[in-house]
Amino acid sequence: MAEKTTFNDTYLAKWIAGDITDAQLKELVSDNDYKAYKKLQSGVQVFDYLEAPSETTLAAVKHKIALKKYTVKKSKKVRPLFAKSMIAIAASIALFFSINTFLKFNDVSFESDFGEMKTVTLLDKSEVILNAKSTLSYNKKDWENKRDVNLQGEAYFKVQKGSTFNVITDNGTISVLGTQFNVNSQKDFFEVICYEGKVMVVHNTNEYILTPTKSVRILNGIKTEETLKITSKKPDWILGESNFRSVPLKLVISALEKQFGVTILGNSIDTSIVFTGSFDNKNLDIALASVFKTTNIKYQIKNSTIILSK
Amino acid sequence: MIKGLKNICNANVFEEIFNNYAKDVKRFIFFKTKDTNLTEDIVQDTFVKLWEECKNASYDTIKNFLFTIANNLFLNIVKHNKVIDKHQKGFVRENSNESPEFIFLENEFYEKLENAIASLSEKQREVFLMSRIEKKKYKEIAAQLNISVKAVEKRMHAALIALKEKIEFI
Repeated sequence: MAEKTTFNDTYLAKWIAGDITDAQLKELVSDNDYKAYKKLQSGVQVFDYLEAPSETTLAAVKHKIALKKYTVKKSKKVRPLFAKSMIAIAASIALFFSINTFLKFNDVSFESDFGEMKTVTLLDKSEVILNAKSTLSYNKKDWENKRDVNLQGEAYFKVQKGSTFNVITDNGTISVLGTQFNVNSQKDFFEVICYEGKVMVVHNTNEYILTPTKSVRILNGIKTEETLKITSKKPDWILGESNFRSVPLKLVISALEKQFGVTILGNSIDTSIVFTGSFDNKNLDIALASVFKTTNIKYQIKNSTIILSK
Repeated sequence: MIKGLKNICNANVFEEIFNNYAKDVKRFIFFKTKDTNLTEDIVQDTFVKLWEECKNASYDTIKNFLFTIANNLFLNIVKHNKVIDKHQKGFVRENSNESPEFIFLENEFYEKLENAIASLSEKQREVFLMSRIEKKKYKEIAAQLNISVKAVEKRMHAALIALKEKIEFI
């Protein structure tokens, strides 16, 4: 009885923290109150979202400005021969320098080519292995203060212990102290797998804490958290095999293109079908067979273009 | 010519403006789009644009300037989407990033909620903010405030009842 009384004045706290379900709450309050609390909950979510710190947004703004810096540089090549050009040049140089001081002009970047795997050792001896067609960059000058790297594509990280290490992607940010994990950040697809230690993933306003063998994946905005049956401490692609676990075929096609530097065409093919399996990263014929034979898709190879048909 | 003391093209001033107004812009756009991804994009692009236009912007009217940029970016996207819809008629576009709960949430309700949060008792608000904004577990809050977990839960429970009642009442 006493326990019931105490639960009576804490159940909303338990519900908002996710310790009791909506269905359980429904049992405890009237229909109208239930609706009011659900609306309150979504309001609180918006409140969380709008009040959340905007450091990652600021980082993204700086990143975008840095990218624009290169276009500023390019546009200088085509300078008009007007009297005003001197002012324009002076202005663009001034802008150039101010952006440089703003961004400290110390960006180091590594890019892997088609079918290439690239190992990068960072200043703190942390190791990053880039999968094909992926880019990693960081600011050399800022490194002392913060261990931030930018990633496009897929990479496996082995981070040395130390201050917080952030991997910033278009899809979200991964923060760790010292551990091993894999990040795959593509358009419409984001996946982080933890191999050792503890990894924090921030996607939009959501935070996920991953421990070994745990993974989080966001596919077209839908999130799944999974515990994987993995025994090795490294992802399979490092050993020369690309592995897929229920992903849309279009991601597999894009991975084939990145591994072998080919173009794959197939307008008549439904690329949203789900694929589970793997392909060999060394042999294109074997890779194509293992993906398309199993999905009953015909293919023709013409030079470096592969045409798919039903 | 005497320029204002605050030069927006200065990186520190720019960051200060970002820290002062990013949330306002975010909120302004969020209630137009109800889409967190789109909001994030527009907020980022607004400040990129401010940096590009820093010479033409004045510190005194910066808030207006930012809102105008943000609103134009939003209108461009609306216009663009209309063009896309025209070309993809019959093709249903699903935006799964948009949480269904957000769609029905009106600015008006949100303002009530903010007022209600502001009028919570000090103790309730403290627990509410630590839990929702700082994302602390009840156990962590209890340790920090040096009270029992049960007491934290009671405050949170009471805070939620108070919020519901205040929103209904306002």
